[in-house]
Amino acid sequence: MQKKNTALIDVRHFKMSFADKVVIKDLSFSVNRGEIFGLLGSNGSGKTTTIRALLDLYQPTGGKLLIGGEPFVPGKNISVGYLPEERGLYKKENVIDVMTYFGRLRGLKNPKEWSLNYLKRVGLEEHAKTKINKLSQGMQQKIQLGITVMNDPELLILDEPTKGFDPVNRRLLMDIIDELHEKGSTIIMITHYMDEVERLCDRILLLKDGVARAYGAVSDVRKSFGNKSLDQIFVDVYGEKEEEEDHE
Amino acid sequence: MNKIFEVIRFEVMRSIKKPSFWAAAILIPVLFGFYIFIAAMSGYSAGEAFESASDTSEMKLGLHDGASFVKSNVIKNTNGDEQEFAIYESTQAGIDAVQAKEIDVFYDIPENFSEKPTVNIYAKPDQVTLFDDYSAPIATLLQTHAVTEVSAINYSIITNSIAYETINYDADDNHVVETNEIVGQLSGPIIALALFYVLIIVLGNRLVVAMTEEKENRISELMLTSINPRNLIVGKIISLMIVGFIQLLVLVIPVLILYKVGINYDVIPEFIREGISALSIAQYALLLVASYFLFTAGCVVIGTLTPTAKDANSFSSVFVIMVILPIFFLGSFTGKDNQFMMYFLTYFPPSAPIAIMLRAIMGSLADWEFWVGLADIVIVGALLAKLATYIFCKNAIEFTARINFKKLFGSPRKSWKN
Repeated sequence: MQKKNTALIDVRHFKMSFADKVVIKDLSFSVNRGEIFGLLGSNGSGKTTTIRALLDLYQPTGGKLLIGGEPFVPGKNISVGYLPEERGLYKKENVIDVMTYFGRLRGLKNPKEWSLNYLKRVGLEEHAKTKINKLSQGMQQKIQLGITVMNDPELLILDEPTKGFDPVNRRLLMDIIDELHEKGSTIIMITHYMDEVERLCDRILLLKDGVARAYGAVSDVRKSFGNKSLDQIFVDVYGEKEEEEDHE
Repeated sequence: MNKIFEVIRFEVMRSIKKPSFWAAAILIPVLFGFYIFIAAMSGYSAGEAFESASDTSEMKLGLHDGASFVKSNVIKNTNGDEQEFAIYESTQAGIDAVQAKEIDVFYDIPENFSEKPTVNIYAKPDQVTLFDDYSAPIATLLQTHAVTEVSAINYSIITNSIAYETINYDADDNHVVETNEIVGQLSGPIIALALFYVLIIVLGNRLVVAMTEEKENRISELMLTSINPRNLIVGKIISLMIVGFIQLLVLVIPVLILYKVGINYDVIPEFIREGISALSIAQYALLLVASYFLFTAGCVVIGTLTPTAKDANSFSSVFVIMVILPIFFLGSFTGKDNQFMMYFLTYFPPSAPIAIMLRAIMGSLADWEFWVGLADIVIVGALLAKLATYIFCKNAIEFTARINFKKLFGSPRKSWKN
């Protein structure tokens, strides 16, 4: 891992439109190495779009999105673990085959061994040969999480990671985040749970109407909003729109 | 490259590990063989289906009646028009006329016709096939004659015991084309057609589903942060080709074993043993590979365009119909109907594989047409594969929406780097 407080991610004047719909107007921000960064906003505010553009799943309408100084290319810049909002697995294959496959794609030296150790850690070692569609939703989440972090990613991106997670898996996720953070991974979290943000994140970006409404260290953002809680700040920022709409 | 190999390994292994793959791989050829067996037992053959095809109504006919059996040389042909046989004084004169292309077909009724009722038929078509049948005019002539001028005994002989033996001359050098030579020409296209047909039936749906699976199961994003989409799709296409190759082995190996056993027990007819041409088989194996590549690429395009297998299936049905279109226009290939469709289907890429194979079987395919057709198939297959990659790059995380061509070919667009 390289030294902290240097930017790993640099987004400059990012713009994104789908047909006539402008999703991101003009967005610039950076994420430092080793920090936990919260990307916040209501549904449809452009958080997932920003991540997809960052990971080159979308081509931006304008601007630059760089990871380690260059556009993202799988396996070329840095190791990335991504837990997308839309998540699934090869349902008709067995657990160990799927995990080993992803491990190989990510360049793990002993993907099967790593996978078996992980399954043991999360109490699923008996299900290594079970087909994914025979597992409960919670068990599948553990597998998805394992695949996301299997290459000890330098950059971990979690899009609404606790959505649908039961308390056990939520705890597991938090433990993994802590472990990776201690190892120096940079983590971007998209979440609606402000308690998680306050507890975990070093800095945040609050998106609204395609622009940044708040950006900086959690304490600085809170200070600029009169030391309100992040929950209250979120309500205030998104309440503005409703009030404006009410006036109209 | 390593990641492409990983995709291939995963996709091939999970295909061949499925019992359903082996069930289809074995069951469909068995059913196919059973159908052929039943057809053979009921006295029906593909050859018979095509034999009636030779249209002689516009041909120039010649006749030598060594037995003085025929009192007239005019018949009413299938169009209801009068058709006249040119009379030749000797067998050799008639043969010379055929070889010189003065007439199309020459019929020789030998002197001992009453004892051995066999008519020798001489022809020199542009291409000789197993299905050429020129017997209709002479049969009509003999039956017309029998009805009006021959005794009941002779009539019985003619209608029940008559045999026709056809001698075909090669269009280039006038040598007599033997049956094993025709088998040699046909072995490649017939085998290729049968195998291609089985591949379409067994693997068509699998090809489409293979491309929708990532979208349907919401794996695309997870995949595409691990591997470049071009590598993913190239790996998928290669793995689908390998699965097809395994399917072919399942079909071919038992046939080869049976053939070998048949030779050892001397039950394979000599004209087949001597006729099977390695060159023809190699040539059509090439066409089969190219055809399967085109079919795979077409199915992959459909899979990349649609969000679910269910959506893809309706499109793939249309594609499969385009591929087997020549079957619906068989008359055009046998010469019964206008041949415009035959030529159109030969160069219309989806239908080109089966059209080329059918024309080779019918003997109406020139060498240069084979190679042009093959090039057509390979080029269009490669373009479809490229198109599939392009669409996949843009449509891979379109989980629910159906095809939106404006979005697909407009901006913003997806652009993966190598």
